[in-house]
Amino acid sequence: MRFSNRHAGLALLAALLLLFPLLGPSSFAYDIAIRIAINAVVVIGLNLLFGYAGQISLGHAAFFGFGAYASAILTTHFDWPPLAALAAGAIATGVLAFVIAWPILRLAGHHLAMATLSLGLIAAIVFNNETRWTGGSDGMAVPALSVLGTSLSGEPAWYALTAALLLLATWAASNLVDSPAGRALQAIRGSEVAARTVGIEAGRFKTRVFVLSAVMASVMGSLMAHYVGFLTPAAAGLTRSVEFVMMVVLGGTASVFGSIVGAAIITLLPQVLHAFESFETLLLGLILTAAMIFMRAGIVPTLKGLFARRSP
Amino acid sequence: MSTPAADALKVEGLSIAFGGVKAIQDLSFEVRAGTVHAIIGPNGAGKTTLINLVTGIYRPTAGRIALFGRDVGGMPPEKLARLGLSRTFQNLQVCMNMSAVDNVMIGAHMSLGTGLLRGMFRPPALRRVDAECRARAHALMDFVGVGADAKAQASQLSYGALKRLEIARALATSPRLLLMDEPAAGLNHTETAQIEVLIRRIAENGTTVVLVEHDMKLVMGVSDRILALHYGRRLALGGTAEVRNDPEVIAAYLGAEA
Repeated sequence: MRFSNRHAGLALLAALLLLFPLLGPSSFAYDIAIRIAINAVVVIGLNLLFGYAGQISLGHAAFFGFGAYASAILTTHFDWPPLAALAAGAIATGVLAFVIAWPILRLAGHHLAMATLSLGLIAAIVFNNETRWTGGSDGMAVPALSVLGTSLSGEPAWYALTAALLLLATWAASNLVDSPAGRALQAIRGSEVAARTVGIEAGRFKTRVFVLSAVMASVMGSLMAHYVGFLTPAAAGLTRSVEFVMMVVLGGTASVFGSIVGAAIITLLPQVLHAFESFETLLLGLILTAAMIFMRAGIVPTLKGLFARRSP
Repeated sequence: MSTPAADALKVEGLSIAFGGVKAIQDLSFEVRAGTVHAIIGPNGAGKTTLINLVTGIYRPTAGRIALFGRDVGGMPPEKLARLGLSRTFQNLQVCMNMSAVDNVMIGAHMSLGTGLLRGMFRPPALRRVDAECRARAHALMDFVGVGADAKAQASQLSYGALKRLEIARALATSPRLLLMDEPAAGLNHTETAQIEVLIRRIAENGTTVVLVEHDMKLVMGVSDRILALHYGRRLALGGTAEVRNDPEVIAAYLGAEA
């Protein structure tokens, strides 16, 4: 039963992703869809760490930023091919996450939140101040993503790439949460003592999922930099970190599909609310507050619960 | 490593102090393999501290702990699990974010492929062992008597069912020594009688059981040997009848003047 649920979800996602271009979307609609897909992959990774394994990160935009700046700096200052820069950024981010995981993930609750928050702030300061490399707050241009001389350009091509990555990430994450490793992660959130008692090396699993989610953020950061073609420290700032956490919580902690819904809503809402001009932020806040009051578990788990109760 | 003659658990000169409080003092005893061994004592006697020492949650200040002939003092729980030690908790440690059967399946963690990448790609070999693990978890839930709750969320189970679920999870690790911390606490007479039957069946399957318990009827009914603790020291150690009739044990329990 659980298997068919997962496959139904994947099929629905694939259908939606395929259907979208057939509606003849405008460049603007394509642009939003691409940003949703990029955010959603980051949020799926963060949800594995935060929702499933219970380890909060308030600094995930830093990893997004490391990937973005690695791509930007290596391609512009050192003429690296974009894919090599992307891979180098991902590896460096993974190594960094691995190194800081040991001291950071020994902390729990508020302390872990503070530590990751600090990481995000430090990264933001570096991106802002190393003007020689990053252009500081003025930002820097990033060349197009090219592979063997062919560059990826135009919204439909970017949509195809990011939609495929989203589908891949969703498939892999849904597999993971239903595997022994995924259950180990969830057990760490449920009861770390119990997890260790059955032989789960909690520290090692926390480190692994931290690295995994950091690398996912880094890769998507690289892609975002190439897609937009311009990079400023705001892409890696505290606001972005908080947005990622909001996407997880709104869509549903410990829900892979919730990650996508959360990413879609938080990415879309500001666009939809733009018409209200100065009331935009106020309305955004009200909607999110209401969602959290009436759907505490997040949108997808709440709807799932309602549906399960109606059809026993 | 271990000989058949080795005791399941051998504790020598064990002590731990928290600040000035000596919770366990110079304690020595052994649990013979294949027996049900109860640890009793009034509240504050140091039973839970002892369990936490043996299961690696606390590090002893002094003394030696050997599991099947192997020195394990200060070893963390995840390593002890690999040596065949499993436990249940007095205050439940059930993962409420998971389904009941998933809680039991994590007990089989050590026998499964647990790489993150492996999990993401779910190769056929992993799917096969995972299906076997699920089937075994269902069988264990049947064995402890909560088979009907397998698909429910753990948070929907009753207290009595959760206690059994913890036993099933511990059994899923295929333990050689199972420590049960107050399995009857909070249960009514009927449920306690069922737990007694369950403990006997676990012992019959060859698992050594260490039982920390207040319910004397259960202790006397199921144990082969008993260790009585009082203020962190050994009060008595021996067969059931021997300990039951020990004047010091009676005094400690009834508060008679020594």
